[in-house]
Amino acid sequence: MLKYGPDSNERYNLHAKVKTEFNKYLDFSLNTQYQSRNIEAPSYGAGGIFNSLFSTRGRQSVYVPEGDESGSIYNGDLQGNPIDIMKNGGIRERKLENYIGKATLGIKDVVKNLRIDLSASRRAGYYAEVTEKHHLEWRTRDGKTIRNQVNNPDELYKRRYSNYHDLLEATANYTFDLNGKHNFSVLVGSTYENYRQDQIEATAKSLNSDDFFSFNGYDSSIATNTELSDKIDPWSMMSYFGRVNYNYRERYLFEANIRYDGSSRLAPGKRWKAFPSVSAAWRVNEEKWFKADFISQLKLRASWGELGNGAVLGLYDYMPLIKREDYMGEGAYFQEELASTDKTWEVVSTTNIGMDFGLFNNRLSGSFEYYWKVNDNMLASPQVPHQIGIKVPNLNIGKLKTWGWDLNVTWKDRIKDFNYQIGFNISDSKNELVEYNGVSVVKAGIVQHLQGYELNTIWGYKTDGYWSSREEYLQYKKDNPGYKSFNDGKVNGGDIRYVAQGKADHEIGVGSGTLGDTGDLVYLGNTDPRYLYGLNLSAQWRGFDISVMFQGVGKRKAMVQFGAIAPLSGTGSMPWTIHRDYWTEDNQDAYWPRLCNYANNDFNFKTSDKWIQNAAYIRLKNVTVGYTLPIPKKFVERVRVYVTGEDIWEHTKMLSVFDPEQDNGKDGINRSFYPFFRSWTVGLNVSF
Amino acid sequence: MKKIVSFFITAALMMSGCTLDREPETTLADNNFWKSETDLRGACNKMYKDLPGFVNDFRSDELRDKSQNGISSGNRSVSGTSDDWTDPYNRIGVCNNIIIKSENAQVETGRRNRWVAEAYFFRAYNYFELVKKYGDVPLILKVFNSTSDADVVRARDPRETVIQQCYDDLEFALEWLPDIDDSELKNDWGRVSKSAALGLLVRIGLYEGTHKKYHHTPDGNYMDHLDKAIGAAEQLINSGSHDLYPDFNGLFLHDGEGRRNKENVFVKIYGPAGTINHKHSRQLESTITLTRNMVDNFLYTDGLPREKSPLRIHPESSYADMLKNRDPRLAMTVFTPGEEAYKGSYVPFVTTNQNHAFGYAIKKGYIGSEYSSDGTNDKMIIRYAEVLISYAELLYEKNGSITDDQLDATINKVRERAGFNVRLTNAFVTANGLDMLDEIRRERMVEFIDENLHYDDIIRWKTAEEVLPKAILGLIYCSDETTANYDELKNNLTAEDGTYKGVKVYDQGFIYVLEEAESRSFDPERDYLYPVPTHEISTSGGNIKQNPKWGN
Repeated sequence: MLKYGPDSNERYNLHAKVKTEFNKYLDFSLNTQYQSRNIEAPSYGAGGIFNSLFSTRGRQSVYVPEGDESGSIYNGDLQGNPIDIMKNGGIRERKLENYIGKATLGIKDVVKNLRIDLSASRRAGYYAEVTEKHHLEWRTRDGKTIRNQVNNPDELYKRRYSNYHDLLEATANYTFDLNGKHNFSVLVGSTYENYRQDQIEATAKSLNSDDFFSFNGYDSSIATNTELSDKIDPWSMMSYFGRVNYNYRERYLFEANIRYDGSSRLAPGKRWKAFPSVSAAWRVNEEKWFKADFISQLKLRASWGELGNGAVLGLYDYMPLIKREDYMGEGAYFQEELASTDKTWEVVSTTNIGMDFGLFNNRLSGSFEYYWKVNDNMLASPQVPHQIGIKVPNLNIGKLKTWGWDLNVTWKDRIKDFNYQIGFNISDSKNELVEYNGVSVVKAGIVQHLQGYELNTIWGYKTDGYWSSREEYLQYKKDNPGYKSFNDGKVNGGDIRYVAQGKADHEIGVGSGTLGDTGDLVYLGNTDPRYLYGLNLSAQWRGFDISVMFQGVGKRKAMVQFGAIAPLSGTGSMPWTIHRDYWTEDNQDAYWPRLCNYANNDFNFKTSDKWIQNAAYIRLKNVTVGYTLPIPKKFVERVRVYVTGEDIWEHTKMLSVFDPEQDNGKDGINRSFYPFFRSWTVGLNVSF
Repeated sequence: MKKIVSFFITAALMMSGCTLDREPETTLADNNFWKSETDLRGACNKMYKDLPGFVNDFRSDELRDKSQNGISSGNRSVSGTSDDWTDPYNRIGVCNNIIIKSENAQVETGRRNRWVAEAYFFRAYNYFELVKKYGDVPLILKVFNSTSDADVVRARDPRETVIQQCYDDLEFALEWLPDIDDSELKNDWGRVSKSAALGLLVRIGLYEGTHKKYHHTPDGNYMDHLDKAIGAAEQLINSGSHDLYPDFNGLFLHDGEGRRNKENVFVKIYGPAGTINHKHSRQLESTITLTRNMVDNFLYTDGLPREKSPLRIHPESSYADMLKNRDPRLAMTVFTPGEEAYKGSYVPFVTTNQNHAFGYAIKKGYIGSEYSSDGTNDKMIIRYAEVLISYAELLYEKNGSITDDQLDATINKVRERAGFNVRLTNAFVTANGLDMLDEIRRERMVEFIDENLHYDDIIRWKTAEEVLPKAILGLIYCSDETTANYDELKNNLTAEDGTYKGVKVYDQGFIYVLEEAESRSFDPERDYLYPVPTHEISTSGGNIKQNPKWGN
């Protein structure tokens, strides 16, 4: 994407697997992998460069004109020059290598029907990063004054870490049957996981030479030019589990599980928790009385289970930790977050009912599922008054309910030598934050947690077109005494008319920000996608194959940050072509309000029903056309050429500069995103 | 092969003996910190890092931003959260943590108290910031271990209680901090000393004493506050540790840094480049401008204000007219046309030369070599001139009068330093129908332009309701002194008779009107206090109540 500077991402993979049977009791396998990834990018950061490209003023030319004595061919008289930064600002190289080895030993039939599996694996990672930030400056035409500069002083940063992730597993499985009709299988086992990462970071500033960056050549006389830190992160996890499977003639199936998990990330008293689950299934088509031949498969199933969610836990946050910042070459030490001694596992219990079917000799097949989940002890950040004077960690104060369904249907058939498949899937889910012991605070924008609502709701103001003139606004104020809109002293024709909720006798605002009094904010939807669907079409005929995949979202709202959507949000930000349709007295139906130097005052761009984007979309994700060459089998097994297009078409109602798949985060879409792009690939498969 | 089997079985058995205890190996935690003096010093460093230094204060009629300021114009609204509330409390949290956790340090009492004294100083400094803005605020003096502690939702304590706590904290600081000339501080310039504690006591006592006198807040007696401040001022003045720096220009540049400038009482240190820096010189060009309203406060060389002085040139026909026969500090505060300024010679109204709004271009504190890079000069937070002028105001407010000797030791000393050799005396005031208190206040206004004192002053004097709702005025337009196009400016200039859109706004024509009076307002029953952020009200379950007239 960033063709002026470094921008590459290379991957290598090597995989070898060996399996052997020592004798009739023991089998052994060894699986090894090597993965490496090299990434090169500009050291300024893609996000920063895109932000700059989207907003640098158009009247700043890329190069300086003739006669310029500023000392650089790049022009930076208004803002930094992103092209120069990409080319000359320095490179960031990252190299990550992983070595994975897994050995498995299987012991069987020492006792009849008992199988023991033992495995040990280690994944060792090695990471090396070098970031060079070169100093760039852009001067006035006569070269006398510096107008803008970046990376002052210049900087060399290196980061190295090595880590290992060990996994030891032992399971014992015993199967037996009674009368050939009742089949049992019992499994017990345990796993132990251990991780440790050892990292060093070092920064040197004010390098001696611009061409040669090294820790051996920089101005070390100033204490603040050297930064050094290390970080060692160990954690471990242990689990014990057991499972019983029973089926009667492969017709009625039943399974029960229990797990007992412990993690080093929690305080000693809160570490361990047990998680049970059960499931049952009924293969209806295996029943003797089942006569419908056109139904080749029909299975009904249901399950319930609990699982612990440990991914959201911190490392040692049950202790009061002290953070170090740099202050004039010395350390400044403080406690950044309250210790969370009460934190424990989130428990997610899921109930699930479903049906799998196959009709017409499995030409038509599919499944349907309906589920509901309850996350008790959800970790969420409590809302407390700021006089606590410290950041508050997540606590298990929430209860979240999620429910949804999932349907997929596939039709496979052939007409002579033309094979085709049509697949369709659709799913939807909703959630509700049932309990939330942190007090719910409603603000304009995305509210992540609000009791009684789904997660990530958007709250904003209701609008009603534009004021046609300041007189109209003042008249409205006169007719509705007490009403006051944003930027009251300067409201003019072409400004957004905000609607007060209830009587228009007060200043537009958030009220007290609680559910009982949301002021003039109304619920405007939420950012989670609804009705996700996909359509797969593929066909094969005489060596040709074609496949088309569509994917889409039926309903979604997206919020864009003020800095990304408003023209001239900051005095130096360049407006875009979409901003041309702005309000004037001759163009009162414009999409955009009157043009104004907002200078960081977002009065016309408060979160409101006018600016919330409809992010529903359908996208042609993948089109592949391939042809398998008719080469005789004695040379190669198969040779196929193909062309693939990815993300080549979409339809959405969102503003064209934003992508409907863009993540909203918790603050809305901003201006630093790496743009979405279409790609075409040509490829060749050869198998021996 | 047997070995392989036994290896695996051993591994399986070993798992049952594995422990899940992991300790952070490179991160410090309470159990391995808070032990030595180095730990305490490191903990205190955080307070210096968080200390605000150069801050553009657009809340009053002194400075103007590129666009209208909500507080200055009365157009601000209640917000959900505010850094003005959150940041001081986070800093107070750091102070409380040091005070409590240092109790078990293995350090001799005197040395331990020397470091803890820094925490007491900053705690007082931050509570003072809160009280100035919000009035009553919850007084938190402890360290929290859990969010269910009752004090997490504590209601607001009366301002008098909080200020008394500030005094107690500063007494401790005064006792245990080193003297500013202590050898310990020789290579440690910038850390707080007894002088800083005294300087802050003067500031708090003056603020709260006059605020109480004019606003009649409940509890306590305003005289007690004035006495406290007077005691501190006298202690600082009599110590002989401080004096005025002889050069008013150099005072705000690199010349004025360090102990060799004895005017420094409490500073925030900056620099070198790449460490803690600011962009003040760039801000002076791009954002900050001085209003005509403020310029009018400067006296003439006969010691008389513009309303009375015959030396005043009226009507003005050139930019430099306002500088003739004027207090020399005005010419040291703003640029004159033709003078070398931000981008070449200063030409008013030309936005390519200075991007700030059309008010006066500030020269005070501008360092050309740091215009486009990082500012590295220190910020004087409290300087000795403030102590002297405050002392004069304290004496007057306490006694209802001030002697000529007292004026010579304070106001006149500050004037002399600046090269303004006009003595303020009781006789002069009587002879010219002036008001002594106004003249003392005037001295404060012209000496401390762009030093973050004016807004707090107009609040405590209760004069904000008079000066803020007025029109905000800027530069004078003289066609031969600028290349700007008259047609583009004429709609914003006062007419020759000083009217603007038919209303008499000023007594001079061709003055740029930055903001009309119509767009500004001040409600005396509401705007002397900031609105409490609604987050605090709702998350405290209503324990914290809103300030009067700021919503339900």
